[in-house]
Amino acid sequence: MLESMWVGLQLVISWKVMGLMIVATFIGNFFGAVPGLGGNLALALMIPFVFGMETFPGLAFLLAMHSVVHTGGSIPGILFAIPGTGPTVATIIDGYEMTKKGQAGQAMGAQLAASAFGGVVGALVLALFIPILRPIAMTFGSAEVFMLIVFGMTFIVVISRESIPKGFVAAFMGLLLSTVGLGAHTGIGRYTFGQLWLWDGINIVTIVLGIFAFAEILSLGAKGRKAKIAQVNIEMTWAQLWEGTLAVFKEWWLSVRTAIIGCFIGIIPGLGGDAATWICYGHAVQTSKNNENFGKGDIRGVIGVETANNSKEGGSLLPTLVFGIPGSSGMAILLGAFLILGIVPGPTMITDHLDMVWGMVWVMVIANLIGAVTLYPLSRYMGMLAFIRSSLLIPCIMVLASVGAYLIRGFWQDVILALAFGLLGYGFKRWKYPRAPLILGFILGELAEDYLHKSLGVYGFAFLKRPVVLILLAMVILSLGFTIYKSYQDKKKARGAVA
Amino acid sequence: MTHKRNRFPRVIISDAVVFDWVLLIGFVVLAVFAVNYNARARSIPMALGILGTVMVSFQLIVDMFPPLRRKLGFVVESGLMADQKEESPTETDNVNSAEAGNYGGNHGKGRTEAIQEWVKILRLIIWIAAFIVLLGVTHYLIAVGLFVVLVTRIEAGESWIRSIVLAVSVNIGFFILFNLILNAQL
Repeated sequence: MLESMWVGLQLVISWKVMGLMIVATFIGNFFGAVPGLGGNLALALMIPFVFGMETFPGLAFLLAMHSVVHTGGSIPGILFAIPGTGPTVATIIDGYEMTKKGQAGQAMGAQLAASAFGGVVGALVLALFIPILRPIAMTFGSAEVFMLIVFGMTFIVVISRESIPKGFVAAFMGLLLSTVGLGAHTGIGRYTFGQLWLWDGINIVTIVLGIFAFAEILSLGAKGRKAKIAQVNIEMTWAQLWEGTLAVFKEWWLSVRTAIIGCFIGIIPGLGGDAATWICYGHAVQTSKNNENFGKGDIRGVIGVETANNSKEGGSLLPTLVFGIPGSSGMAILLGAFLILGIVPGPTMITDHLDMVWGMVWVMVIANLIGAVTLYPLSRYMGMLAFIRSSLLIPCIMVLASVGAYLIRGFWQDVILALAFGLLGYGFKRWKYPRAPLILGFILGELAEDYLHKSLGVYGFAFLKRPVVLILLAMVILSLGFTIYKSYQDKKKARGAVA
Repeated sequence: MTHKRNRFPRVIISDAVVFDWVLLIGFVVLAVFAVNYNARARSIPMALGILGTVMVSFQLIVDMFPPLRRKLGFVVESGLMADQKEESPTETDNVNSAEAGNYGGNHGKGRTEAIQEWVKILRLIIWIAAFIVLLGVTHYLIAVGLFVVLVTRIEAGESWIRSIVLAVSVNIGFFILFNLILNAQL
């Protein structure tokens, strides 16, 4: 274990990887700070460009970028009450109030230090769980992994905020799209329509770019975006920033607690970043003495939210790596990137590629530190990114997405396909069909079919009688059953209220 | 005088219903196509196609006949985290207001606005199609530059100078990031 940890560190400590991580943290902070972009879009746009890179540098680039998105995302929230990303909304409650009171520096210092602290704790919790989960993962065969995929997909749909049937529609669509091309177990091309370029199936980049990037372009183009510059004093001094930074360590027990809570929420697939930040904000309010200032500019409100915001990324990487079940939509895209880079997440990840897992832990630690440190002098200017007009953003994202879709295989048909998925993604976004289950279904579909055929080949239908499979099957039934029960209870309550 | 209640709920044909139909047709077509494959190849796509068809059908029914939502409660049931605070604008939803003149407009503010929105989307699609053609006939940096200048000037209504400055900046950024740093195979 210690040797893998050391090898992992050696993977990170190289000029190339460190340089890429610095670039990645800037890009991640940028995409976080500009409302309307966000981490998913950053990943979708950048995946094609790491295609030709070596495995670990490419992985470090994407992971570093993803790790710091919320660090940048909180800045416009604190300075102008414009959230860069969804989970940073909770930061505004106290962060913006502090800015209005002339304490922008303290709020920014606390935000940056708490983000870095949370990110590091998240990575450490991830590291802590590796030896615990390793023996469990080693007992998983093809039957267990197949059922785990089924459970993961069901759980993500059931626990999400969106409509459950719509979630299943999205998941089935993703699974169906994953069957396009020549199947390893079937020997024939499915849904290729005589097109040679479809024989290899649909590339994950094409679908991610379409569902996230092109859909956002169309949405941005249809709605437009303009934020009015708020008339607040965002002047900040180094002394204020330092004061805010120290507050994170003065409130160390709150920082540790919220970081750990955030991390554990991240581990549960489908709960999402909003749940982590709001739960931790609530926890900070409930457990703090003299909590009457929360909502009026209490620095503990910023600390509680920001530690959770970054620590949950470490947590959500855990099920992604160990079981191949992403903890969030960002992780679902990252999972696709792992496959492109030649890494198959799942139990074999911590049995065969432990050094790489440790490398990822180090990447998260270092990227969070770089992301925060570089923002100390730049935060004021990063906040102004919230006011970039959509008319200037759209052409840039359009070319980035189109070039990305073309780059991956050199087929112009892929760009057209990405555009078609963009329309589908726009429809999903507009009529509230969740997009993450579609991506997840697409990514896990091929693996699920592969493991199902292997399980049937080895055990026949008796694979359903294996103990772990039975437990997972029970969990699938329970999660669906609980949802139906909840629906019945809600209906009963509503009827009671009317009566 | 007795008021005779209409037994059949009124049919709603909204854009959401049209989208449900598109999804339904998609699932049906994919399920039907799967019939042609051998038993091993068709089992999973057929099952998924049928399941997807059933799910979308329920959605379509409640979207077309909203009063049926009460009877088909499970169709509108949200996930367990539905009570969480609404996610703010991670993406484009989260922004304050429409940008007048430049791609502007709001969702769902009447039929005219909806049509205007779709026209804007159609225009963007045409621009992307034009970019694909450009990408095929010239070097990617030339295509990117030309595309950014034209879209920024014509579609967004920015000045020529601003459009050219943006195009040059994007070109330089692309070259540094993808050719020099990432060594991408463009």
